[in-house]
Amino acid sequence: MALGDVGPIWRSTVRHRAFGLLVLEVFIIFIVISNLLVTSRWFVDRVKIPTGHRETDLVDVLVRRPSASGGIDRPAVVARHQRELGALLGLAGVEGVAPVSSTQADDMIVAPNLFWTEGTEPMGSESCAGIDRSPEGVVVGWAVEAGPTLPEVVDLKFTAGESFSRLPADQSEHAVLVSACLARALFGDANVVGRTLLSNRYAPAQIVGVVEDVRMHVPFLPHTQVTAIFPGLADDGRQVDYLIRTAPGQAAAVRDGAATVLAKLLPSAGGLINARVFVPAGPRMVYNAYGTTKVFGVIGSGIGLAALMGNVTLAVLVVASRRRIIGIRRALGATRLQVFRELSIETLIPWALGSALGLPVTAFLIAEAGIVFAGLRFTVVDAGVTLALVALVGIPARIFPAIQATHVPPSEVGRTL
Amino acid sequence: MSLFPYHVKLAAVGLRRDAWMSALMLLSLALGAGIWSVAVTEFVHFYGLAQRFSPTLHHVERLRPRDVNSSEFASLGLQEATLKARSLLSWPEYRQVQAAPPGVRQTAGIRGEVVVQRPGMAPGLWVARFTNADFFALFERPFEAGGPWDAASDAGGTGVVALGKGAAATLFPAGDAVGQTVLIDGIPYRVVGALGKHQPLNAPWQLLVNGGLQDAVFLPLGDFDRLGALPYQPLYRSAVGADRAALLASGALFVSHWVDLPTDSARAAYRRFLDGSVGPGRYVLRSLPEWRKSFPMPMSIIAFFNFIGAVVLCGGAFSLCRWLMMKGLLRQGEWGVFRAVGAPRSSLFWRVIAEAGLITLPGALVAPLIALPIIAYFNHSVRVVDIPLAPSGPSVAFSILGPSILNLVCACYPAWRLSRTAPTLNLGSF
Repeated sequence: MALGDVGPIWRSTVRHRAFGLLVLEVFIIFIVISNLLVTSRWFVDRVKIPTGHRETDLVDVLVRRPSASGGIDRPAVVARHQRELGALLGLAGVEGVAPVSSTQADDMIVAPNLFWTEGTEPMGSESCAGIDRSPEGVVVGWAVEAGPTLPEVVDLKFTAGESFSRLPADQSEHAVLVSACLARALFGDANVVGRTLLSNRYAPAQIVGVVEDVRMHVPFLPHTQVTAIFPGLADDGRQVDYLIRTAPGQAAAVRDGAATVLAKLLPSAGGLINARVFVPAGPRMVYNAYGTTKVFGVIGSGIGLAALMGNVTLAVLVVASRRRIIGIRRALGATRLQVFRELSIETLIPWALGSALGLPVTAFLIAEAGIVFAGLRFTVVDAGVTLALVALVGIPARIFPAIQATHVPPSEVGRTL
Repeated sequence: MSLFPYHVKLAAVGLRRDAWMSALMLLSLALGAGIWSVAVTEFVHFYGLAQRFSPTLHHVERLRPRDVNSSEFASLGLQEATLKARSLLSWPEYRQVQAAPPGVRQTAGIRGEVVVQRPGMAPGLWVARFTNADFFALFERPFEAGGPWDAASDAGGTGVVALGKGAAATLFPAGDAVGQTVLIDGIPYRVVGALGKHQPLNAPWQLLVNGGLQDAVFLPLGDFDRLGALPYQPLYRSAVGADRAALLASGALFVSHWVDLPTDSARAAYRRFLDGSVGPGRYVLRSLPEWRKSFPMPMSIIAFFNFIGAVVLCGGAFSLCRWLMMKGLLRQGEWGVFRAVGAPRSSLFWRVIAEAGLITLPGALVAPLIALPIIAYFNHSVRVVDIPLAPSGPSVAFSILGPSILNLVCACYPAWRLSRTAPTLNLGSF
């Protein structure tokens, strides 16, 4: 087809009275498909973000003790805690154990913490994406209470300062480790070791080290990389989580062994032990992320099918309304292939225009949504996949009427002359 | 309008002339309306439109000097945390309002976790609500079997428990929960009732709009102490020591408190009580509708579902509009003949509207049915909360009304355009 044919085809297309509505429809299909695609990817990405520590060869054991109707006796808790730690460290294949108040595998939504410091400094030049600070200099984040060996057990990467285990006992009581993002949000680019961290949960603590960001995986949680780690028993007297570093390949055996030895230390009724090989995203979280994606897939397929049926019907009507014109073209010598190409290009134009309109609008919508849902982005790949999917939905709507048009005989023109 | 049945008949004939195209368009609209129906069902579920609580329920917000939690959460845009910080009371604050004037019905609730075990089954860590017997009546929680414990058991120690709908179904699939014994933290409890409804997502006593687990077991408030239970994820307001007594004495927020004030005199009396116990100007008393207005629902994935549903609905309406327009243009000759033999413009207008109605209404009516398998798949695949999504009266009504109204409104454009067909249109063909 010559380039000169495009002009007449374009004019013929835009003169069509339902042209604007078709463009609008394609625009809507583009927006729906792109949004479903991007949101699905976002959900799956939430469970794939690296935690910031070594995730392999790690076992997570939750110990829940029975009722403490007489109140919680702290010395007894400490003694019991020591017995449990000793039992775990005595297992073959265990390299280290640290109690923690929560892990990334806890997939329940937890209450956020507030952090601030004495005075307010400008946020860091490499400020973390999406981290806000209130006018009073307060940042929202997540506090974890952990045994002093946690940094070694989960292999945290220090960017400044040092671990609790290297501090004298009297200094570690009011110490805290902060993630790099929390340090930057509160102190800017200044050296934070030795500075004081204030929070709505713990007593003022002196920052002794900065670790690379440790992230939570729960969707809709803000500031998942803003973390402070406070040293402590991480045991509220009823419940504690133990993270166990195992020798390579020993995680499953240690999980079973830990459940057995800890069960022996529990009273006969009312307690609970839940031992599992650590995965950075909790099972509920992973299930929901992939489940949401599947549901979006079903919805997207339904929308695609609805759009396909609607458009095929309409496209057939378009051809039916132009049988005389096609007949004239055929009578003037146009081959079936030429008619097919013309009709294909003609129906391609609104699809291309609708997609072209949808592209910037989608980019804008997702950029706006990304302010609330951190990590939501419309990438070039997303745009490409959306265009491909929209084209896929549009192919039958373009090809089927074009094929129908080739069957219009040249004598069609004689019916009305 | 007296000729409307005639127009409907003509419209039906028009649809039958292109039966397979009409069927495809109907299917397309029904599918789109079905997806809209899923979004609407989510919306109704999320906002609890199928569950109305008594407007005479009232909430007391404590105005705390320099409240680091609520003001900071609000300025950082954390709606859910702000709502919790302003809605919940600390244990000392609750004690101040606990001794309400005689005759005032009130309910307090504390969320905790307990180990629940049916003898012979594996134990599990479940969400518990420690509350008083009036909770079930004030929040209209119907029982499928049994009922709440008596008021005397509110003090705890009588070993009674009520099970949530999901918990009862899990522990006692045969439906014989009432009268059975379960171990709570190793202590035997007798089941006195099993609820007949799941918790609403926007329950005033516990929001689950962004996920979480509904209350599985309900225990008398007094058992909060008896079991040495700890509140589940309290909002801390200051450094708190490691033991339970320190937590209870602190300003940490974890008590949900509601009071029923059915008359103006009851409200006035309760205000006098609050002035005395809390202090004038240190609280805000709001009815449940006022509370809902003051605390907007937090942003969640529901917004996305609603957006997609609305866009699909509009897409369907545009599609119908274009389809009617194309069909009309194709048959413009016929319209011209109608006009030439005396049909007024309004008759053509109503004929197109009737055609739109005939194809829209069946599509809209089957929308809730089309949504059913998608909702079932959603319940199977997504468990952000343990409350299944289910159609309700309002969701079915919105599912049908939404596409019906929008499609008919959009059909007005082709109807108007086609009604302007000139009677002289066919002159050129003769």
